[in-house]
Amino acid sequence: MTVQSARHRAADPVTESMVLVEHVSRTYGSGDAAVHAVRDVSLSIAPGELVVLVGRSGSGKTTLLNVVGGLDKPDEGRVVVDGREVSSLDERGLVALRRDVVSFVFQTFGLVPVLSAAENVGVPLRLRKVPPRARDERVALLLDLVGLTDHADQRPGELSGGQQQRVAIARALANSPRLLVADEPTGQLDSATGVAIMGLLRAVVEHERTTALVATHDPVMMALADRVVRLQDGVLVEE
Amino acid sequence: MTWMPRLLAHRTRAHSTLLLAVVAVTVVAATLLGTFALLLSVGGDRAPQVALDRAGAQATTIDVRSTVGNNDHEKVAAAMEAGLAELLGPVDAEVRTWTSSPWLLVDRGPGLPKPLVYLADYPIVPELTALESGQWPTTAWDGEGVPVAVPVAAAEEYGWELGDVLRTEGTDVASEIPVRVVATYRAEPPRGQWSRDLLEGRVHLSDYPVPGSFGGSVAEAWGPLVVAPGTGAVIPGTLRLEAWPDLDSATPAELDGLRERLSTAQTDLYAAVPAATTDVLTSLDRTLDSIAASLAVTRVGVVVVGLMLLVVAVTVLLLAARLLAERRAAEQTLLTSRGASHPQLVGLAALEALGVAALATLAAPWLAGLVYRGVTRVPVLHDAGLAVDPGAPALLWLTCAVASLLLAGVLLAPSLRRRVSAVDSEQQEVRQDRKQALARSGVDLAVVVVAGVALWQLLRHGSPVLDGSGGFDPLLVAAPALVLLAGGVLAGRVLPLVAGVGEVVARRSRALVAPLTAWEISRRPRRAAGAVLLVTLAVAVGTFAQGWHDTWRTSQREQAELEVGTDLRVTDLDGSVLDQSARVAAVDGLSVVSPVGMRQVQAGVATGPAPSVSGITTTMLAVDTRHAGDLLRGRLDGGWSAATAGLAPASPVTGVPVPAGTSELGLTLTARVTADLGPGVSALTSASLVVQDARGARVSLDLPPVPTPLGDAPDEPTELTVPLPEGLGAVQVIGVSLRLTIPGDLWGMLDAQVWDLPWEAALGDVRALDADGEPTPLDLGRGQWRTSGGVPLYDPWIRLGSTWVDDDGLHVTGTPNLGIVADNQAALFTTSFDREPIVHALVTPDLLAQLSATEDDVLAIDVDGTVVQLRIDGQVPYLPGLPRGAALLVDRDSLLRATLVTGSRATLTDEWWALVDDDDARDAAAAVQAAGVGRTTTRVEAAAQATDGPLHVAIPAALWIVTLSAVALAVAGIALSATVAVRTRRLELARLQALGASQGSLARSIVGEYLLLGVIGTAAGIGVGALLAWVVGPLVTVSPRGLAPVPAVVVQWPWPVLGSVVGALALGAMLAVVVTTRALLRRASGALLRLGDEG
Repeated sequence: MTVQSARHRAADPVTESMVLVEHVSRTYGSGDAAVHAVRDVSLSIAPGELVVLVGRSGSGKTTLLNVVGGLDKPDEGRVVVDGREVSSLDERGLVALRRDVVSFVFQTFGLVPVLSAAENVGVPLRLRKVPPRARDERVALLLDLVGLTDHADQRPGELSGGQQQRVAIARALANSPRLLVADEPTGQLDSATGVAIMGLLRAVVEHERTTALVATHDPVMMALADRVVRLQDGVLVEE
Repeated sequence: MTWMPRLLAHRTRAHSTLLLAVVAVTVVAATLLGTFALLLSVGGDRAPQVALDRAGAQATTIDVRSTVGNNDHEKVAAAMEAGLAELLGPVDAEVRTWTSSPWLLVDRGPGLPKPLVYLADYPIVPELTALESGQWPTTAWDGEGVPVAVPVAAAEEYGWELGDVLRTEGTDVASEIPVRVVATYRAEPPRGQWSRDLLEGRVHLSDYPVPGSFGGSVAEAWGPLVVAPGTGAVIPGTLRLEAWPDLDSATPAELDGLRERLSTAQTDLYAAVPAATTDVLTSLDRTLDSIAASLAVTRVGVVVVGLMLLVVAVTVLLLAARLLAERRAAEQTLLTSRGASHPQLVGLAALEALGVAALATLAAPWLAGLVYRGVTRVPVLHDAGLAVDPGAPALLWLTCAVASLLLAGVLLAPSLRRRVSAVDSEQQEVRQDRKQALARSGVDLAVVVVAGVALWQLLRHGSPVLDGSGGFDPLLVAAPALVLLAGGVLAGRVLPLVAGVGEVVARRSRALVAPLTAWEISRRPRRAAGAVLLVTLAVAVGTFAQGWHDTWRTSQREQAELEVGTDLRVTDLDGSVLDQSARVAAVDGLSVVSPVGMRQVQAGVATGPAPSVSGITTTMLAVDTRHAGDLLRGRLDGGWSAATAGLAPASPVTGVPVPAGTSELGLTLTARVTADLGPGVSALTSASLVVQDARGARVSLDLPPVPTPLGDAPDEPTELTVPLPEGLGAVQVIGVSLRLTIPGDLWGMLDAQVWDLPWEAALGDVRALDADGEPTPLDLGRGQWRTSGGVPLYDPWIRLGSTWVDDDGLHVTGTPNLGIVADNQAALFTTSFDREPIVHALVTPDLLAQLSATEDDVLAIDVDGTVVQLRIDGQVPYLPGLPRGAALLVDRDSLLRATLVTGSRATLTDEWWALVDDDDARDAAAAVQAAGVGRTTTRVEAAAQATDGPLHVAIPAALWIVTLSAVALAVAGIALSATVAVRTRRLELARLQALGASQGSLARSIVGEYLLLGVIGTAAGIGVGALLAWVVGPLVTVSPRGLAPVPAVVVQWPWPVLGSVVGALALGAMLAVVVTTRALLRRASGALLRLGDEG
């Protein structure tokens, strides 16, 4: 299991980068009430790289993640993920991007409460219409990877926060995404669980050869990252 | 507690859409129930007024009749008026007085018979008489007598001329009144209007019993002799007050009071009018009772469907309450965690519910008035006369207020449940709590048990209306609504089965959309159950309402059709049978028209060859069964043609044809008795011709008696004529009756040597004379003549001779015994048909039971004094025109043959029945009535009255309202459910979008979920509705008087309407789901998909 850092690679940034953010700005509202969430941010993430995005609350981390993940559109600049210009994709392209390329880990886990852990993990595979047998095998593998084989049939309400986040990570990895976007994945967990989750995230990223962009305050995660990027008032201040 | 209003205000703003929907549903439901209240109150008050207005004078007038006798007529009149005024009470009435004198004998001179006459002052004289000569009298006395107008027939009979003074003497009252003839007049039809006349408008009766003779003597009776109106020219013998109450403007309370007083009117008036014999003659009490019973039945029907509407409305509100609770779950948890107590939370919900109830209470009565106005503008209700300004009666306000409170109170239901902790609440979201499931099962079981008991009671009683009394049992009335609810609850139990299948499908499926649908249904069963229950109830209500609507209408129509018995029925006949026949023949549109015998007869099981009748009184229907298919109406398995096959004689009667346009029949009659009874004894032979016209009217036309020589005295033919009515058409002579009379005391001759009286009679030169007197010879040889001697009992008393036709005519010989001639008359009856061996009959089970008879038994019935034997060929459950009770049906031709051969003069023409197209029925009835034949009833009109009349139309109106309301409420409820389902799941749905699910696929999943729930609900609803229509429908379909309907109810399935109702509901619900889902998904996704924005 090898993580190849693209930190020093250059050449064609579009073809060489998994994520390329160029002069992206995003403003909410207008006039006096306008909030400049992200201003002229440029960033490149190489394939297989785990980049941690840090900054205080309101610094624009989530906005940047949303823009990168295709959940929001920048007002200016462009975002390229896996060679696709996200900012110009239509709804169908965005759906395909989220289904095949990017996956998300939410701060509040984002599990479907009426589905079991295994069923939650299987959702992305169903979206790709993976045959049941292959789906079951993949789900079992991922649950094993996150250490929840014995909890496969339990529903989110019957799992602890850490277990739920593990399920969320397993689900995020289910369709072997090229890019994993995680927003405060340990935000609702105690520190010990948070450390475990961070470790897991690092391990599965390496295992699945996935690029990851993680917003966090957690210093443990920062330590595990290939690179740490800091945002302040919507501006990239440190890399 | 000041936080409560503030919180309430904030929450109202935050949940404005959902609350608006809740208020709208509450207002709509309260409005609809208010409309039902208006149908019951305003419609219920108005309907009797309209019904009474349309019932006709015959059903609503009150007659008070006093025979004054020797009493002071002024005192009697005053007492009658006072008594009538007391009876009427506050009800206004137009009162007319009919005055007629006692019977008077007119002294025409020594040795001349004295005809009976009477003077009269009648209010109808100006409209219903035609002056023939002279001037109407204007004074009470002209110095020589009372000026009178006499019937022109009486003037012609007695040669009275204008100016003649007639001397009269009293019969029961000793008085002599000279009258002067100043005019002659003719009484005009309809004769029904003359019913208060002593001779009922007949003008003449030939054998009226002379008053005071106790039937010992009879006289020619003529009248009325019309006096100057309002002059007091008549010394009253009979006083009659005819009151026409203004029932249209009488209030229900006034009508109730009038009905109460009518029940004791006879005794009250008898006591109030001194010394005179006083009778109260009215059908108003029965009319009011009938209206009250019909109205009670209609009210029961409206309440039955109103309760169903209430069930649907409560279900929608329960669904809304649950959705509100789901929407507010987080808020409730927060409030609880911040220290809000359970009573405080309930108080908050109660405050909100009160607000909703207040809004609904204010709006619903006003809206209900609008709906009522709109509904009663629909042609059927407008024609029923229910389109009035409903105002705002107390019942409307009460209904709307109670309904609003009840419906808004439903919103409290979720908050009454004590909340568990936030954690427990989350756990409950994950897996359904077993305790709660058990509790729900218990409630479901209780609903099913109560519904089962109610249905069982309803089945036991057979109807929610108790014993035709108009009262009803609340449990029985609520039974259909309870069964509906139970059906909905049971349908919810199907969900787990479907969910189980869904889980299997989900496991095996590659995709997400279908499994997502299955998971949502199987793992959030309460939400799914709510939607299924709503659809089930709505479809069930629609199915039941439309099924019952069709069943009810069909049953009412069938009951009315059977009650009438034919397309056009003419009763209370006026004029002679041949006159009636000529008049109906002139009416266009009557394809088949036939006289019918419908009367009470004595019937018993025949006990010998010549039995007498000692049995029961039953109703006999004698119709031309050859036209049974055309004439008889009323549903019968196999039809009336098949049922009556075999009742008619094998071949029709063939007589001597008489051409159309014949105004008289002429003939010569020759008769002689070859025995010599000695000097001073004379004999008379009288003949009657029995003629039959094309419509089957069969009458005996009497010819004057001719002297009959005895012994060797020579006989001479006597020329005779008899008139036929104009317009009768072709007729046939089918029989001749000959009667031998020897006046004087024959008993003194009984010891004579001569007992046999050989008697010969011949009818010759029989011809038809047209209006110009031009003769057309009739060929007597066309008839197959046979002679009988009357009833078998008398057969030994007369020996039949020969019957033949030759060039001289029809000859009949026979030898009566002197004894029978002495006792009354000897008679020979010659007919052109054979005596039927026996008359065949169909009978009702009631008659069989009452006579303890069985099929093939022989009955004896008395028809106008003639005993006829009938064989019971079979039984039918009822007869046309006779839906209930003991009755028998015979072929009229067959019965008439049996009576004619015994010399009966029965015409068996009590009514006329006709086949007429539905479209022509009204005009034909009017034409028959205008022709003065009698009172008409049409099947079409009766059926229309039964279904769309003012007393009944509220039921179909209520059924349509409940159908449309159920569809509308269900669509609103489903839209509400889908809205809240998407809103409460919006974060979940947004996350699924983040995982790569498209908006379209998620929308498809939700639509599919509701489609599946809709299919389950629709299937269950159709099942429950069909069950209700099949089981309950017949029980709540009763006769207008609340009795079991005859014929029995046949459940109808109006498939196109049912399809339309289900289709409209499905389409409306799906449209609502698609629109709300897509809109909400589009609106919600953008914001919620942004990470970090979880709220």
